[in-house]
Amino acid sequence: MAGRVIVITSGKGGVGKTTTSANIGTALAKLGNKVVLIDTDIGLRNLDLLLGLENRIVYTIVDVVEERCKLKQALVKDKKNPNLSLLAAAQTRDKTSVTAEQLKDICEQLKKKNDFILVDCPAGIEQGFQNAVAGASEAIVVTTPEMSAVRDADRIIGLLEAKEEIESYKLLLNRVRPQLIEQNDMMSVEDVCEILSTELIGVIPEDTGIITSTNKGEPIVNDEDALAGKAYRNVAHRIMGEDIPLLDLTPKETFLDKIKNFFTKGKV
Amino acid sequence: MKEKLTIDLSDAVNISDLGIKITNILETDGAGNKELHLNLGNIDLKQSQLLSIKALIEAMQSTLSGVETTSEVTEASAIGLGLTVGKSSPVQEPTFAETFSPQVEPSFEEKLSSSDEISSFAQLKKMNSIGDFVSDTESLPEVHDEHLEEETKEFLKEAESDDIEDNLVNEEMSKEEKVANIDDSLDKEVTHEDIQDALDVTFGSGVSIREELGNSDKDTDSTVTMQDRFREHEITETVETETDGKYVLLDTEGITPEGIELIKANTSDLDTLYLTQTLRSGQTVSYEGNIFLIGDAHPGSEINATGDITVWGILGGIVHAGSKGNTDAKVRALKLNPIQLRIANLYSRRNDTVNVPYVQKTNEFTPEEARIENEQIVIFKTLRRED
Repeated sequence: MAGRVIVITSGKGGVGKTTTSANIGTALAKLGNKVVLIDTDIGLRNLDLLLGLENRIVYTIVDVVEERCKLKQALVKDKKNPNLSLLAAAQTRDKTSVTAEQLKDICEQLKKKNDFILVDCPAGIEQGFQNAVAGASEAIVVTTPEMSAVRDADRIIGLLEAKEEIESYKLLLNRVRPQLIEQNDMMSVEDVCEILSTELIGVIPEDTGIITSTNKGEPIVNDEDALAGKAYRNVAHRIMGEDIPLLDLTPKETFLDKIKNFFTKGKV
Repeated sequence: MKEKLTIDLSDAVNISDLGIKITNILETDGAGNKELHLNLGNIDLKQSQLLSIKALIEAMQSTLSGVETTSEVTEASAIGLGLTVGKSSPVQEPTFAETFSPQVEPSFEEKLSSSDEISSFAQLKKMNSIGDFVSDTESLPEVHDEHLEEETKEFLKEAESDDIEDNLVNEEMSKEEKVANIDDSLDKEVTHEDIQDALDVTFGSGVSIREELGNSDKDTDSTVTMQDRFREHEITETVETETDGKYVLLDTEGITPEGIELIKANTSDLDTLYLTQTLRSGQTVSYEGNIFLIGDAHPGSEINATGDITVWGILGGIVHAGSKGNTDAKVRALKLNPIQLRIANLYSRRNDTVNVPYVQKTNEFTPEEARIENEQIVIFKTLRRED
């Protein structure tokens, strides 16, 4: 079995790399895949918090690299899904504690026994990014419909294209607010795709449920009702090669909108 | 004075239908300036929906004075907005204050000090449902219920007899609520032997019950000195690292670090590192000896010591006392809330049910101490050491 190593990156911070990693990882595991999440954000780790696994971490990726433990010992199994495990970053060290070669080696080892290895990349384009990308053959570029995030995503895509190991990369548009797009206050999905001329793998709507799910340490894909959860589940299906149409995010007309429409209809 | 107008909308099927009808009527009737009374029939309107109708009417220079409805939902919404409900003849409108004045529950303190029937456990259970601890208590394991009941009774007794102690008691009470799942088993009769058995299991034999159950003589308590009282509550709570405790032992099979050699050594002979700072996420302190930290240790920080670790503050990170294998090492803090608590070769993690990354700071923490008892990490809430 040769697993796929996918790096989840963005360039800009705060666009939802870690949330995306946690959710896609959980969704893929729920579909029966063996998944390992690697947090490469050494010194600013968060992935364990989102999965609610903080209290289970004994060994981190730095311990593996420095041979204080075996790779298998450092993998923390998810509370609910035995198919999902996490290789946590060390909180008390920094990005230079691990080299790109070492991470590549870890990915190679994990590939043998898992279907998917998702690498959560830190923000920036320095050592942390270079490490995270080293072992990956595919990439998901996370961005939000904001000028700054799109600009940074463009930079990242340029760097990814320059890497021979990266065979394919896809775009994931996060925190989309259909209402704002409707009012022409936010870049539309099509706009972003056009600017970046990249294939889209998913569109995730802005969802306040993400905040609660983060605080609870429970990925939102486990919430069957949440729209964002559904969007992430669809992304997981698409990663597995299924052809699933994008979620319909067009805003529904509320009662107040209808009333407003009466006025405009009457006066125009 | 506005002209009064009653509109019958009882045949409207949905909310948008209502909107259309109202708009049509107001537009055809020569644009408003009316005081409207709507007959809404049996349609269910939430407060927000009724509010939008009101806004719609006000946008047409009219006012909505009252509604007539058969739906309870709409009626409640109308009352919430201060509208007249029912017949069109104006009755006294409910004022804002009347409508919105919340049902104020008597505070916990009031209940505790004012009620004569304080020792009834029904009352206690009721209190248990008040406050912020509900979610905690629901998910928390039952930790030595009999023992807690005994203590609870003691506290309640004190509350009756000693008003000065109220604050202390309150604090203790809330702690009980936090930790214990005071459930139906409280109602059952508990004998002295039961409690002694429970105590033996928890602390090992030697701890006895100071007061007999059912002793309602208030005067006896007043003769107890302060010192005695403290000794009595010296160990008020223990949480063992069992599968359903506050802390769960990690499966250390195969992952115990090499180089740990189990010994029992007196930690007071060791050097002590004295720190006054807040230990933040990512910061580590390691020392050959004891560590004394004045300040909080935030989640994400790590403290390693070959001896004891004492934190004068909230301990929220990872701690490892006796890191070279001293099983006599202890971890103390004003509030123990570490992500992982390790002593010598025993690793424990916070139970997922009580996995709160940050605890609220109050001035009412009881110092806690974690040590190894019978090859388990046990947390003691200690007010005063006996030795």
